[in-house]
Amino acid sequence: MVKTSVARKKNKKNSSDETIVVSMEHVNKWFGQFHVLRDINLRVVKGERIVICGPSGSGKSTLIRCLNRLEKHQDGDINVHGIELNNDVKNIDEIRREVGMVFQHFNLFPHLSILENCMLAPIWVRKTPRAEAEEIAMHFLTRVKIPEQALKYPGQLSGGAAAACGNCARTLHAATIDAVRRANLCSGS
Amino acid sequence: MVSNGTRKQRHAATNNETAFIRKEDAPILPPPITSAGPAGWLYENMFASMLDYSTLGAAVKSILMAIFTAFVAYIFVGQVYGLLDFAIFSAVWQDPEEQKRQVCWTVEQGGKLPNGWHGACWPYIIAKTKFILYGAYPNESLWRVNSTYLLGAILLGWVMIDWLPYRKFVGAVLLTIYPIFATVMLTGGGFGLSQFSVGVNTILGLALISFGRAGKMGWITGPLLDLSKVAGVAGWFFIFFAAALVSVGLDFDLSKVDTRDWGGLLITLVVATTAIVVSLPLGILLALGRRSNLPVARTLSIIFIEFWRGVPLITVLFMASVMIPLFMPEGVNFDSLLRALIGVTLWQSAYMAEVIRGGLQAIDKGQYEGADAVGLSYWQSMRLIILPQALTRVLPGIVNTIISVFKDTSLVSIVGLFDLLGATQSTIADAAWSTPVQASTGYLVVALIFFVFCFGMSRYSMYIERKLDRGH
Repeated sequence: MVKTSVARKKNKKNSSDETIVVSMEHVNKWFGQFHVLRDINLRVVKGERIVICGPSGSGKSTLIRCLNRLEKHQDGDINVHGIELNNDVKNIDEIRREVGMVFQHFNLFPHLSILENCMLAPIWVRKTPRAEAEEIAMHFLTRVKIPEQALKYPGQLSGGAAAACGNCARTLHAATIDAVRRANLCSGS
Repeated sequence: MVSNGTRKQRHAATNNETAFIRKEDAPILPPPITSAGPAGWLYENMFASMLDYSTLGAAVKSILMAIFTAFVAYIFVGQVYGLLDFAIFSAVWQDPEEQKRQVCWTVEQGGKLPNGWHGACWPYIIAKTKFILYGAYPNESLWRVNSTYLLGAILLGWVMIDWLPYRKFVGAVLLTIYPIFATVMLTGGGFGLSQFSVGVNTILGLALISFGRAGKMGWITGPLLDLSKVAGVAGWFFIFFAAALVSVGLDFDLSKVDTRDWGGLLITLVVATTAIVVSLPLGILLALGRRSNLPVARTLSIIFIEFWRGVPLITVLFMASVMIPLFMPEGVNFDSLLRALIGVTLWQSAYMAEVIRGGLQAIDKGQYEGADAVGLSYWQSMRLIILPQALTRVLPGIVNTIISVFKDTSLVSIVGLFDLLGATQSTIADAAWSTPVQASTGYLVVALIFFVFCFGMSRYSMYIERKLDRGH
C-alpha cells in the first residue's frame, strides 16, 4: 500500500498559539471492500499550513473530503473547530460554513459572474449584507489582480484567472481553515 | 495615400529595376457579384452547386442538382400559391345579401360562383367567430372573458419585457391574484361562503405564521426551529387559500356561467395555461424527488411519474370523466372541465419531471459538491446553483413539452368539452353553412390559431436561450 505523508509549516506569527483547529483520531474509511483511510491521526494547530503528499489513489482527496462531509467516514472521530463531525446535519452545516475548499477544477458556478461567485457564500451562508459582501469580494479580487474580470462569467476566463477566482471565492466564505486540494501538484506525477 | 509621395521619392532614388515595388496603393474594388449581397447569397447557397461543368462527374452532379432544385422550387411555390389562392385570391369575403351557404355555392350547386371554384368561405367563419372563440358563452357576458384575456395579456407582456420595472411583483400577481380574478370573472363566482372552511384556513394560517415569527424572534430553539421556518411559509399559503375561498365565494352580482357553456379558444387557453403553469413547479418537485436520497420521496415520485407517463392522455381523460363520478357520492356533480384540467395537468407534470430530470443529470457532480462545500443548504443549492443551470440546459425540451400539451388540449373534445377544435368541428356540422369548402375553411382557421400560439412560444424560448447563454 502506498503511503501518504504530511509536511507542515508553522506560521511564525502565531507559533505560540496552540489551539487545535482540526483533529482526526483513528479515522477509517472504506469504499465498498477497499480500505482507503487506515487509522488516520492528524492534528492541525491554528496558523499551521499543511501539505498532504502521496501518489494518486492514495487517499489525499478522500481525507480532505471527509473534513467537510463530502465523504462519510465510517469509523473514528473528526473534530473541526471543536465541532464534532457526525450525522447531525446542524454540525455538518456549521463545519461547512467554517471550512473553505478549493477543488482541483475550481468548481466555479458557470451561470454566475465572477463577482456573484465570490458573493454567493457570504450572502446566503453567512448572511452578510449585499453591499458589504460586494465590497469584500472586490477587495479580494483586487488582491489577486483580477478586479476587471469581476463581471465576466467563468466560461470567459483564462485558466490562471479561474484559479485565482476559485481561491478567492472559497477564501471569501471567510473560512478559518482552507483545505486547499491541489494535492496532485506535489505528488510528483 | 498619405505616404504615397515619400514612397515614390524613395523609389526614384534607388531606381532598382529588378525589384517589384508597387508605386501606388492597389485600387479598392467591389467584391465579385458571386460573393456579396443577395446575389452572392443566392450564388453560394443555390447556384454554385449547379454551375460546375469542369469534369464529367461535376457536370452530372450539377445537372442533377439543377433538376432537384427546380423540382423542390416547383413543389414549394405550387403549395404556397395553392394555399394563398385558397385563403385569399379565390376566397369569398362577403355575404351582403345574407344568403349564408348559397354565397359559397357554384352555379352547378345552385349558386353564382363559376363551376370548379375552390376557395375559402370567410363569411361562414365570420358568422361563427363567436362560437369558435368562446363556445356557447352568453353574449352579454363576453366582456368578462375579454377583460380576463386583456388583463392576462398585459401582465404576461409586462413579465416578458426585460426593461420594465417591478417585473417580479407583476409575476407574483400573475401567479396568485390573477387566477382568482379569472375564476371569478369566467364562472361568475358566488360559490357560496363556507364560514367553516374559511375560518379553519385563516386560523391555521395565522397560527403557523405566528409560530414562524416566534422562531425568527429566537423564542423557539432546538429541533422545532427548522419546523417553524417551514411553518412560517406554509401559513401564508393557508391565508392565501382562505382569501381565494372568500373571493370565489362572495357574490359579485355577475351572472353564473356554467363551464358546460364554455368553449372554443377559451377552453383551449384555460386548459393549456393551467396545465403549463402548474406542471412546471410540480415537475421540478417530482424530478428532485426522483433523485432524492429520501426513500419515501423517491418511491412516491417514481410511482407518480411512471403511472401518469404510462397512460395515454385519452385514457386519462376517459378515466377522469367516467371513473371519478363513480367514486363520488350520489348527487355530487364534479365539474367536467375541472376533471379534464386535473387529468391533463398531472399527466403533463410527469412529462415535465422527466425532462427536468434530464437537466439535473447533465449537471457536473462538482457543482453539487461545490454547493455543498460552501455550506449551502439543500434547497439553497438547488435554487441558486443546480436548477438555474439544469433548467437552462433543458429549455428546448421544456418548451417542447409545453407546446405539445398546448396542442394535446384538443383531446378534451372527446370527453364532451368543446375546445377550439371541437367547437370548430361542431360549426362544420351546421347545415345553414353547408358547402364543399366548409370543412377546409374551418380546419385552416384552427391550424392557423394553433400555429400562431405555438410559433410565438417557440420564438420567445429562443430569445430566452440567447439571453441565458453564458458561453460555456
